Amino acid sequence: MCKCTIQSPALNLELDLKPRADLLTCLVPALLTAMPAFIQAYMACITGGSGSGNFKPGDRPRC
Amino acid sequence: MSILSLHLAQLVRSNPTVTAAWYDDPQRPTTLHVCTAGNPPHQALNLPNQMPDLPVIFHSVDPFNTLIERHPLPSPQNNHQTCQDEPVKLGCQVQPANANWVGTGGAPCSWKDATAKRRYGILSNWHVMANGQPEAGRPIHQPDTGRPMLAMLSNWSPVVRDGDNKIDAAIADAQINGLHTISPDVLDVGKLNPDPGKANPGLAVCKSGRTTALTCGTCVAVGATVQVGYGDFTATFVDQDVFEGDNESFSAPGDSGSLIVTQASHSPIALLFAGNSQLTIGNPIRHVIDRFNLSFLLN
Repeated sequence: MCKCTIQSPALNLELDLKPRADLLTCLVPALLTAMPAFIQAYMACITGGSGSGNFKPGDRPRC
Repeated sequence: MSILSLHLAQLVRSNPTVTAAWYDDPQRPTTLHVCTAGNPPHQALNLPNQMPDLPVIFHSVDPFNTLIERHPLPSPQNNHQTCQDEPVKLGCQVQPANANWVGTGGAPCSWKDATAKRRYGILSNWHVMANGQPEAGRPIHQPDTGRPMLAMLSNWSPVVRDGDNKIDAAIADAQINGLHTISPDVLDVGKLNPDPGKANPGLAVCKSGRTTALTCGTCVAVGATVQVGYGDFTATFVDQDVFEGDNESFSAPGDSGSLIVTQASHSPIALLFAGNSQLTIGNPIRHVIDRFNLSFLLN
């Protein structure tokens, strides 16, 4: 069973892939999961005017 | 504090039945307004020496108290009281760890920490987020402690029993595991105008809070001195803004911590922290901004 986690789905992706990880069943779903947060962080960065884009709202479930 | 506002504080302190006082115009007063719990006093007010001799208008209102809601809580009455996935829109119910009360997480804001790093989080009251356990890192939950942590208490301005207070405020850091839990939007209000404003009598305002949700009203007075009940003690607040609802009560228990904004442009005006069934009291937002070097610009 592959291990594939994304620690911070923002601009800095940290992937933890074990050898022979299946890209289709592991990396791609992980990237797709992280994509909304990635896009949100990117948009906050480029639309933040003079700001640094440091405010990065997450989209994690809480309820 | 100006001589005129000093007179107001002396007046409130020396008349046990007086719960609040303000001038119609803090700079050039022509009328003195006095709130009493119950009927106006039969005897003359005990006025401080050299206080201007002005016509007095009495308002018979309930005592002022902080606006938290204590357990047991009824089932949620609106979407300000239910759990939200991230990003959480404020103007919603929050509960600190080890507390038997809830209040409102009022607004998203930012400040710089001790290392000059910009932090993003929640503005609310000291008595909502810090009272009972004023420790940095205290978990703040939404809507209650049965759900994951929303933020961690970062800084606060404690209310003193003896002496004059200007604010009842606290901030909590909303960055959890690299991302922020909160939205730049406030429930039913949307985005805030990052430029704060100043209240003046007649100003049209709104707030988004845990209990009464979105309500709109009008500023009644500025520069007021108010006695506020905290359960086991009463605190004196000076230089406060006073509001009333347009067609309904502007606030109710559970709305403490709400941000009061202008109706026209959503500019932050005051931090709601106390009231009664008729009037609502807010700390002028400039005092809160000065205390925490706060900004409402999020980017």
